Amino acid sequence: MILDIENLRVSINAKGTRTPVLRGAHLQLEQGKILGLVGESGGGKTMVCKAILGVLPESARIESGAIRFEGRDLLAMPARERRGLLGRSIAMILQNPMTALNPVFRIEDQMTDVLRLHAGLDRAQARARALEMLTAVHIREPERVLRHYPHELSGGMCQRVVISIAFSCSPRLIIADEPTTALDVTVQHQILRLIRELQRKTGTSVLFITHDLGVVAKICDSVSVIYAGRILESGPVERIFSSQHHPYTQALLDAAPRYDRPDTALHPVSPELREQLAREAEEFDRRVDREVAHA
Amino acid sequence: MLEVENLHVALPDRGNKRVFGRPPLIEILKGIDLRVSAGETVGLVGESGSGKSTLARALLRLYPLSAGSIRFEGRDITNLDEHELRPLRARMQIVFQDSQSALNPRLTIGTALAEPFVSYGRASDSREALKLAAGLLEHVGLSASMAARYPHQLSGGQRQRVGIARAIALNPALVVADEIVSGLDVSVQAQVLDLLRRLRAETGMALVLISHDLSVVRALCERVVIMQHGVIVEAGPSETVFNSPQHPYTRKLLRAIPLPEVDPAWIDSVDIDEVAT
Amino acid sequence: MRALLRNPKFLFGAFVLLALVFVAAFAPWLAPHDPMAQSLLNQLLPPRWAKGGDPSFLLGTDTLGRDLLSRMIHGTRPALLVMIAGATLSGLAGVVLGMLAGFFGGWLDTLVSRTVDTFMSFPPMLLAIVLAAAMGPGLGTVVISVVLIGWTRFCRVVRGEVLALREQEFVTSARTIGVSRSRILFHELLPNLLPLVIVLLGLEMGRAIVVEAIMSFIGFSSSGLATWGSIIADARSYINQAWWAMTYPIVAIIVMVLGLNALGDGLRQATDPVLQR
Repeated sequence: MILDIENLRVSINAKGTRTPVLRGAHLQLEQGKILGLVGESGGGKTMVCKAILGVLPESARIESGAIRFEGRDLLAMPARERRGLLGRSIAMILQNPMTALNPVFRIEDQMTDVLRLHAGLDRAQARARALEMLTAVHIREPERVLRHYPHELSGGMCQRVVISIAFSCSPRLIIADEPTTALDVTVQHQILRLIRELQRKTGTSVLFITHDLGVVAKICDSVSVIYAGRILESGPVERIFSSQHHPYTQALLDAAPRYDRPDTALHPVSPELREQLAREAEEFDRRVDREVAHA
Repeated sequence: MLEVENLHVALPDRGNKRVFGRPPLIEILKGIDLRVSAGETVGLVGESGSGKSTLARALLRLYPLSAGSIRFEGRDITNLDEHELRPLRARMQIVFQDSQSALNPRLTIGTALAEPFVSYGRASDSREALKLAAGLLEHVGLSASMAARYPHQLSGGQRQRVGIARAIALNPALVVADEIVSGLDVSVQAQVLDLLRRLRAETGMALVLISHDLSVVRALCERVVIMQHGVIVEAGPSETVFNSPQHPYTRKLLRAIPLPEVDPAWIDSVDIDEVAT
Repeated sequence: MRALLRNPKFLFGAFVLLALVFVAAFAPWLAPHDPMAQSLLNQLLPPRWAKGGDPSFLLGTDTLGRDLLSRMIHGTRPALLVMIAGATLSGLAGVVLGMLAGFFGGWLDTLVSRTVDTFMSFPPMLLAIVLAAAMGPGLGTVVISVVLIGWTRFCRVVRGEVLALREQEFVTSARTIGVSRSRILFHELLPNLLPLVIVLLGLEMGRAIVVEAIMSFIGFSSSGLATWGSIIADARSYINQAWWAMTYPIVAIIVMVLGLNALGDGLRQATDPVLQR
């Protein structure tokens, strides 16, 4: 188990009111696998991601739980050591490749900086490694791309560069937050394929955050569905995409149009289901509160 | 109702601005032919750079045309000036992708929705216009109390409903919807698509639905037009195009859509295009 | 409104401004002496609390034996006039020209922008001095110099903002529902410019006071009036004997400038619907 999140409770405390955003979330990512974390916006996907990276907003408080990376709890680790893991052992691929890269630096500087900082390479070694990585993400003229600024590249190209940076320090975990949402479908396919290919080659584990169940079905080994800060179900994709799944997962599937089934009506997630889930979440909250009080 | 022939549009290339004089023009649309009948729903599909959003605006004469002609309800509108277009603008409307930027951040929803009634003299005074605006809000499934709010206080789905409400305020014959559900959660997307479907049935308006998502287009449109690099590569009834796509680009687009079914072969199925700069 | 009363910046600024208005309005009643009355017996008295101070001259006197407190109090009147007239007029001129230039572009924009450049390329005080030489000293000269120096700032910033706003979809959207160009400019764009203009006005008022002081200092303001600048100018010649005389107007100017900047900032924070979540 490379990443094991256990009973993670996070709340936002603003103006005297406490709003739970993660209610005892559990997440398990096996070594060398891709885990999809899927849900609607506001469901807590981003909070999980921020909690792992230690970039929760000021007003957020971690109330309980553990985030174990290779068996060590990130939350109990000294801040310095934790920062040391980021970039080297844990890397990040963001949704918007254009803003993930700094617009005033050439691709070469952005790639080599990371390598010199985290892998301790010298300038020439870093450049060689950067070229190697750009070739690995199927960029045809890596030497030329190195000289460019981010705005001179297309969105798909930028995402390739971001991916090559993420993989360049041979991280053991990559967190990909909606990495293809801003891209065209054909480019999305290329990027998904690229992530899969590099992941297989390097044996890295990936936490893949997305709202698109279609993407999950195609790239992930297992999936966790999150709603209102609670993981509703987890399991291998084969099971979740067969008939045995949570009503909410079914509701998400029913809401998305499919070009191969034009005549099925589109159903938004029903208010009744949302109400029921909210009730369950509150009950769950109270139960955990009682357990905490007991202990 | 809408007939577009050999439409060419070129826009200034701001990225290549020269020190002196005007920036060079780049041709975005290279000869588009399109017909939309009254009450029909046409899907316009393409990826970024295909020119679909430019076409949306050009159809409503929001961009200058460099060649070609547009006829709307039997009248040639190719060379009409803004003054002559004004009465026609009530008949053709657009809903924008970015609902945040499409609404003035400093006007309340009520004021924004009253605007079309005021500017076309459909309301005798501002109070009546606000009343009509409240009616519009309820028509698109929002509460009339939203009128007092500002755009940033609404969710993306709610803002998009406001955009739709504003477009249908004057009972147009044609509504162009430019990527209006991209960026919304699937559930909200289903609601907005459902709303469009209902309004189309109620008002008999024609709808040009622009989207990068073939599944969205398939759910709503009778006819579909596929664009790439400023030209139409394939067009026809949805049935035909989706069941037996002719153009390789259409086939590629369809294959690239990840359906929610486990299929380990999919990820390796299409060749990765090596992208050069 | 409630947000305004909770905003410390606004409260501080409003207090400073109200205090200034109050003192200016009731100057003849508040001032213990005639600001012009000379008294050779009371030359260079130190403030009351210092050794040798006279209880009837709270802040002491200058070389001509004039009461500094009374001169400070009467000095609020020209300061207020220059501040309000100068900032409002330069704001008006700059905003109108900036909006027109940004919105319509073309030759109008070129004309306005080049004029701004020309004005900005002169050292501002040189401009004021040339003007004063042509018009003769007086408060009117001071106000006009403030406007000549100040309008370019408003104009440049507003033009840039309008250029950015013009590209937003809500402007296109307003066009499609038939809103006229002047209504777009004043109904849609102006509310979006207000927060910016308010901040600029605060800054400009502060700057106007400084310009007035400088003009008085070099003797281009009205010679028959007690102004803060003239107190500084007079005090310069006897700074070795009475350092305090110069301190009062300098402190007053600093407090005013800070207060006005805070007022503008606070007003913007409290009235901006977007900032107010």
